[in-house]
Parts: sequence; structure tokens; C-alpha cells
Amino acid sequence: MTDTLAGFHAWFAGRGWEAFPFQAEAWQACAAGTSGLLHAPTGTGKTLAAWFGAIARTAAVDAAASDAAGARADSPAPGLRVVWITPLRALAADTVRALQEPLEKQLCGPRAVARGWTVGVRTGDTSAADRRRLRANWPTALVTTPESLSILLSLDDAHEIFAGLETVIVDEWHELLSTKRGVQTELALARLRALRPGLVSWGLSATLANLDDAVAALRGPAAAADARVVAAVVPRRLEIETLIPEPMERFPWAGHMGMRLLPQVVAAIERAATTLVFTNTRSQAERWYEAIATARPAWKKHIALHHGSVDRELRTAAEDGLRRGKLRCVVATSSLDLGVDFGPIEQVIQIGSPKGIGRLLQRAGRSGHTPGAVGRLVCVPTHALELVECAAARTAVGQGVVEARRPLSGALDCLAQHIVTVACSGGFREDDLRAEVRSTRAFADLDEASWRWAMDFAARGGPALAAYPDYARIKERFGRWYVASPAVARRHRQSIGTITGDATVDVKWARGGRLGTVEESFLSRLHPGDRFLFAGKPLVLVRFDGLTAWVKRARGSQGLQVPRWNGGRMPLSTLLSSAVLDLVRNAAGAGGAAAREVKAVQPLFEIQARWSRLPDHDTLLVERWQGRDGHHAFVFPFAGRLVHEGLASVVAWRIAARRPSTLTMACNDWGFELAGREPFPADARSWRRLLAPADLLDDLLACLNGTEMAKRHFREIARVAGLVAGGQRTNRQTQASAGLIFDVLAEHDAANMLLAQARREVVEQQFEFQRLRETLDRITAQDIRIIDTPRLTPLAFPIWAEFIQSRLTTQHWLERITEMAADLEASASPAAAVPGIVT
Amino acid sequence: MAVTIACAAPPDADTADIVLLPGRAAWMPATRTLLAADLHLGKAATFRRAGIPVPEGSAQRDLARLAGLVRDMAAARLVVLGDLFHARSGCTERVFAEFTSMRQTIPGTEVVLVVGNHDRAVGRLPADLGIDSCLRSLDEPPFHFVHEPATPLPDLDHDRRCFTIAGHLHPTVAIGTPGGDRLTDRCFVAEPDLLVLPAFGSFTGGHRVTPADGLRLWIARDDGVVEVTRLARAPRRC
Repeated sequence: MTDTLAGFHAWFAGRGWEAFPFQAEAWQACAAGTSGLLHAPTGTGKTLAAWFGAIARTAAVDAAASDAAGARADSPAPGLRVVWITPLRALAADTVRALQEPLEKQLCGPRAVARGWTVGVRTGDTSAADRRRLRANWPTALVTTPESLSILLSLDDAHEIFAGLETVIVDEWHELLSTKRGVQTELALARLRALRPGLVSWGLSATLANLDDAVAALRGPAAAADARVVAAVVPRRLEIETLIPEPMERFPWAGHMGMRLLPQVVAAIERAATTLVFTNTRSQAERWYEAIATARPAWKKHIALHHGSVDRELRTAAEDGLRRGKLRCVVATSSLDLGVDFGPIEQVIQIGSPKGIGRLLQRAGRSGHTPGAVGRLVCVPTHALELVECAAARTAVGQGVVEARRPLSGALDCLAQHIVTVACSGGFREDDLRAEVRSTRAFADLDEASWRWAMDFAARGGPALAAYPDYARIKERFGRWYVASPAVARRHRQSIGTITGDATVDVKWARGGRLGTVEESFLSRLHPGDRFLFAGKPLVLVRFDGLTAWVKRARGSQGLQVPRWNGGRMPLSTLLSSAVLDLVRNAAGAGGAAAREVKAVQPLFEIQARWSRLPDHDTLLVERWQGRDGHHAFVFPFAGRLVHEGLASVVAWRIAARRPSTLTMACNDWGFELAGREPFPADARSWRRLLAPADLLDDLLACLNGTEMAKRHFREIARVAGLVAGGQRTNRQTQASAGLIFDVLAEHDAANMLLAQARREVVEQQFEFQRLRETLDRITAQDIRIIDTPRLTPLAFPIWAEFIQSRLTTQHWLERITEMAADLEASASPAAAVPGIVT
Repeated sequence: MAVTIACAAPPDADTADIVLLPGRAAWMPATRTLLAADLHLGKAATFRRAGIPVPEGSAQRDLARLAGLVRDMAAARLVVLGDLFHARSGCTERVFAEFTSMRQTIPGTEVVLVVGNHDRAVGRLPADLGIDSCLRSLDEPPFHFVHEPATPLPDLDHDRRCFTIAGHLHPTVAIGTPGGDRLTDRCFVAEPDLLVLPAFGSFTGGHRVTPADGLRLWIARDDGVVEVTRLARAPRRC
């Protein structure tokens, strides 16, 4: 074993490097059979730490075995020895390359230890032929995604495939942690541990505030105590600056594109050899790519666009261009947040508020990778108040704090899927599987009733036997549960494999060649001849046949529509929200001490103070405003978008419960807005009652029936649980929207626990219930100030300019339509006057 | 030819050619005919056969609603404008039995099925279902009953003397106000020479109608029908 590690060090030395102490620590621990978590910023050498560790572990096991047999092992025992889980299939190919490279070039070091090793890949992109080839001859190490791993676990010979597995590595564990796919990974790891009791598992993660949760989710709570947590300490300098608009007066108060700063951004790109421009949404990426290309036509061949909907080939071309230093600039979304090194990137530009410190660090980490280089990040606000968020993020990075990511628990949709998965692979005894599932962090507290329900759901559709005739996915035979038929198994494997829940449409050139995918909802509202921007190209829709949009290139870039993809927008983290409120409160009298960004928005805060007042920690500000379209109330708790969404729903519910009415809600990270036909209360006592913490959960659950939220959220649950088919090419006869299934379940199987799960998940995740409760508790101690404003204030305007997020109604639909008709009459008079500064 | 369409209740209802009823059906007083389209019976069973756990219940309820409407209107004839059944794999004994027992509760009513694309895929129906005639289309000038509105007319020249009544599209409409209130629901759609009924079956999806000149729209729910032509919104451009 010491030979092995010495070989690794020699390999590093051979390239003029020196292994970091954390890498050596990980090798040693892994080789000795210890599991653990390795956390470090992007691009610090986590991959090599884990990969060499896995090689050393396998070598140690083989050596022990051959010692026992009295023979010398020249190559690894055949079969799968290492599984490497990566969150994005787009990363798989890069990962394979990164793992293969140290095995190729030199004969010393890892190559000597890992003689005869092969590295393979299996993701949703792998062709059927390649999958067959894999099955015939498993590689020593397999790079895969959580979905593909689940599919492998559902094969009837899963126990043979994984019989020789020694190590499993979960890359970018923080990225999976707080998602359903994280729960799926936890269940898969538990399954692997059941198949291979001595299995060593390592998670690679960015630094988090709650590392112990990350370890518990990786290893299961019982084994978490034995796991090693290794921190990568790498000296690295990072410079963060914010672009300040000049002149500030002409900078918009709201908006999502931030195009006003284009000249400065182009100048910044000009200064550096290579730049990565990160945006928060795909629409922003399209717009910015187009704007930069138009501003500097000479760069046309040296800039590229990279986001999740652009075709794989175009994305690969962009990544290769970066790696080989051929590109000056790539405009990307979170699609480039993750992944192996892209080589020489000099600076990163972040369009829009980063919304979280962890995310800012992750993106900043993309630049300045060469040893000794300085990472450079430029924040570009899209509207005035984002300057404050940029300042808050910059300060927080300086203080070295970072957010937590909470793993999910009790996701019955994932459990139902997993039960069928295990049933497909040779069946299970109920007691065994229940214990195995409970060994995960996600299901440690799973009660008997929920387990019973999940089993019934898989076996009979639901507990109401009569409601589900002719249905079964699993069947019991002699004490073991098996999948009901090969057809069910086939369909189940197909549904595990799909990641996206939204219906997407291929975009193809009329003359051939694929450009990528857009959401069907966007395309269905286009007509042939309409022009839109996609994959960085102005396009004209030629025809749309339901599955494919045929396009050709459009001339000129006037009047192009930008697709709107349904990607979730991140909420401002608690840490950042609180930092923002600090800055706002201090903005009033800070003068010279304030950050540059805050100084720039000072005039805006002065207007705010004049028309209304500045919020602070001791006061809750409520603004009332009457527009042509009705009455508005703006409330500013500074608790992040999700909490505000929940608060808005509760307050709307409490108002509408007293008198049948329909209220619309909008929110951003600073506050929320309610709008309705009646004036909102003008006294603090009424508001205190509306914002009281008592009965919070009951009111939240009640108001979910009055909004579309639970139904919207049900889509993902329905897909995971196998209620709606994912992917495009499904049988036409079994197509139904999740919303329709939700209605049918609510009416004919109201006790269905997936409905309850949808409601619970909305409350816990969509509204961040814990944070919501804390916010209301905080408000009870605050002074409530209600101010009638003659016009929209600088703080209210960005909320007003958000698209209406949801509405809540307690009215009968006929009455609602009558009122709508009356509204239409009223607004037929000249358009309402509103501040006209939206970009 | 001017066909008059009225909502639900009197006074116009007695004199109108077509009355739109709550519950997504239509009534033609002159011939005492009740119209319904797109029941998609057995759709839930089709899903279950494919391993998707959708509960039973919506089909029975839809059938009970249909029989109730026939009785309330004392209809002489029920015309189903296609897609009575969803798919062959969902047409279990049980689904047919449910239809037959519904049929027995309305013995004095003639039942006509204008065959839809789904019905064609189901194939030959059992003779004892109680459907009196299965037709590709039904011509009773000026009315032309058909499943798919675009089906070309074989022997009628398609002039203004002909008014088509159809299903197939499962139309829905989104309405809204500048204040931000929005509502999407199933609807009746009418052009000067065409009426499309909403899907009668409750486990059916919808297809959003883009408002246009000359198009009239009515939201249709179980407890009312109301015209929303002026409130209809085109899909938002962004």
C-alpha cells in the first residue's frame, strides 16, 4: 500500500506538481476502507483525490485476496469495481476523460497500480448498442448518473453486476443533496450497500454549512459517525467587483436583462483573454449572447452559447473551444456550473444577482485555475436594487460564510419508484427492503403507515382496492415481491431514465441538423413565420408538427421573441437576505462608510425615504397604493422569494376567508404584493392579525386549495411515482397532464398520499416552512408601519414589475367572471399610468 | 342561414336552435336532441393496463351525469359526437357493462353515435350495448353532425346553409383581466357556421383556443354556462 501511494506522489512529481495533503489523506483513508466526504471549492483536485483513492482501495483488496490465494494479481479482478456517480449526463464524458488520463501517459504511478483498468460510461445518452456492449463486458470503473444507476439496479442480474464493487464515488454531492435525485441516490447507495456490505463510499462536495447532513445522507445516519470528513485547503485568491452603471439615474428600477450595462460588459470581455459569462436563466443567456455578438461582430467566431436546451453537439463544441483556448467568451447558465476543468479562464462575469454565496463561489471558482493565478469575478446587476445584493454577496464572501443545503426526507414518490426498481431485480422480502430503506437518512423516520401505503401503491394502485381494477406493478409469490410482468419492468425502466418533466420539442433546421429543445408551451404559441432567438441564432418558424419545430435562419434581429424556459429561479438565501437588510438599513446615514454599490443606489433610497420609509430590523414596512387596476399592498419582510410566496398566500387566504374574493400575488426576494378589488387594511392591528403565527400550518394547507400551487408541484411527484410518462415518445393513449391526474385523484382517491406529499412539499420546500415560521415570529416583535404611497416606490416597483405569480380565490366562478367583465369595462378607458422603466 | 345559440336557461332557450347546457352538453329543442362529445370512457382503465395507477370513478360519474341530462330534458334522442370510448385496451367488460346499465336507465331515448377517431381504433362494439345507430356523420340540413370539425362534407357543398356541430378538439379558453386575475376552463367554441362542444368526459385533457374575430366562446362547467368571448386572452407573448 505504501508503494501504491508513493507511486501516486511520483506521478504528481512527474508533472511538476505536488499532491496536496488533503489528497494524500483521502487516498490513505479510502485505501484503508474508510468512507467519507471531501469538500473543497471547484477545481482544486477533488477528482484525483477520490479516483486514486478508489484505485488504491481496489488494489489493496485484490492484493489481500491474492495473498490469501498465494498468487500475484496482475490485473484487477474482472467486473465492475468502481462506480462514479455524476449529477449531469453532460459531465459524464468529461469525467471519463479525466479518469482515463492518469492511466494512459506514464507507466509509473496509478498506471502501474491500475494495470488493465478500463473506464466506461452509461447515461441516458448511451446508445442501445453501447449498453449491450457494456452488459457483455463491464468496465473496471463506470461513470453514471443517479437515473442510470437506478436502471442498472433494476436489472434482474443486478446482484451479479455489482458483486465485485469496492468503491462508489458521488461527484458534486452538494448539487444532488437537496433534490429528489439526491433521495434517489440515497436509496441506490443503500441498495449497493445491501449487495456489497463492505462498500466504501465517498462524496465530493462544495463546502456547505451543514456537512454532517451531507455525510449522513451519503452513508446513512447509523454509519455517519465512522465517516471521515476531509477539507481541501488550497490557497487561492479571489477578486470580486461590481459594475456600477453610469449615469445611475438612467438605470432601471426593475427588470431581468440588464442590457443597459452591455458596453461595460463588452469592455470587460475585451480586457481579458477568456471570459465566462454566467446568467441566471436561459432566456438571459440567449439575449446576452445575441447582444454581445451584435456589439462586436468581429468576435462572432470566438463566442459561444451554452445552456441546457442547446443541442449536445453545440455544447460540446463550446466546451472544447474553451478547453483549447479558441474562444474568447462563452455565455452560459448553470449548465457550466458543474464539471471538470475547462482550462484557462481568466475572468467570470455574473449577470444578475448571484442569489447565494455558495453559488457565487462556485462560479467564481471557474476562473484563475492555474496555480498562483487570481480568480476574477465581475457582478453585473440587472436593476438598481441588485447592486445591493451584489454588495451583500461580496461582503459575505469576504467573511467566509456559506449556506447550508438541506437534504429532503420522506419523499414517497421516490420510495414508490424504488420499490418497483428492486422488485424488477429479482424481487425482495418486505422486511428486508423496509429495513434497507430505513437505513437512509431520507427515510430514517418512515412510519409503518407510509411504508404500507407505498407498498399498496405499487401493488394495487392504492389502498382503495375497488378504485384500481386490472392494475398491479408488483406481485407477491411465496413471501417475495416481484415485478408483475416484463412489460411493467420495461416501462418502469423507461420512466426512471427520464429527467425532464416538461414536454419539450426538438428544434431542427428545415434542411437538416438539430439545434436543441424548447418547451412545448413556448412553441405552441408561435405561428409559422414568427421569429425567435434560439441557440444564439435568429430563427423563423417554418412549421411545427407537434414533435419537431422546423426552422430556418431569420434575417436581422429586430422583434425576436426569446423562449421562456420553466427553470426555477433561485431564492435569495437567508444569509444574503439578512446581509441585504443590513445594507439597506445602514444606507440611510452611512455616507462615506458604505460600499461602492450602495453609494450608487443612495439616491434611490433617498426617494424611498421621502415617499415612504426605509425598512429596518425593528420595523415591518407595509405600503398601500391604488392603481387603475385595483388596490395593492406591498409588504417587506426581507425573507427571500419562497417565504414571501408562502406569506402572500397565507395573508391572501386570511383576507379571502372572511369575504369571498380573488386576490393576486407577486413577490421577489425583498417583499411581496397583494392586489385585489377592495382596499387593504390601513391599521397595524389588522395587519398583525393577518401576519399572526398562530394556525400557520392549517391556514397554509387550507390556502393551497385556493391556489394552483399544489397542483403545479404535483407534476414532478406524478412523474417520479410513475403516474405520468416522462419523455416525449409515449403512447398517445396514455398521455395526460399531471394537473388532470391531480384532479382525478383528488376526486376519486382523496386519501392518496401523493396528494398529501404534494401539499407537504409545497409547504416545506416551496415556502420554506421553517423560515416562514421564524419570519412570522420575528414580525410579532416588530413595529408595523403602514404608509399610503402616491405612486410605486423604488422598493415596490420591482415587485409590481414581476409577473403575477399566483392567485387565490374563494369566490364562485360565475361571480368571478362577472367581476372580470366589469374590470374589463373599467380598464377600457385609457391605459393606467405607471412608471415606465422596465427593460 | 342564421343559427341561434343560447345559454342554458329561458327566455331565449325556447326559441334558440341550440342551447348550451351546464355539464358540457348541448340541446336542440326542435328535435329534442341532446348532444355530447368526447366521453373517452375507459381511459382510466387504459392507463391502469399500461401500469399507471389512475383510480376508477370518473367514467361512472360521467355516465350518470349524461343519463341525468337525458332525463331532465326528456330527450327523444342522444347524439354522441364521437370518442365515446378511449382505446381498445381500456374497453374492459366492466366499462361496457357500465355503459349498458346507463343505457337501460333511459329506455325511451334513441342513442346515436357519430364515430370518432378513438372509436374507430376501438373497433367493432358489442351489439348489445344499446347504441341504435353508428354513423360516420349525420346530416339533417341545415345541421351537419360530425366528430372532427375539419372533415370535408361528401355530398353537401359547404355553403352557408350548412351548420356543423362537432367535438374532437376538447377546446379550453383562458380568460383574464388587466388586474392579473386569470382562469382557464373548458369551453364551447362557435364560428358563424360551426359549433364545437367541450369534452364531456372529466378525465380528458384540453386544447387551448386562440381568440379570433368572429369566434364566440362560452365557459362550460357543471353548474353553469357563461359567454366569455370578450374576456378571452390570446396566449401571452414574451
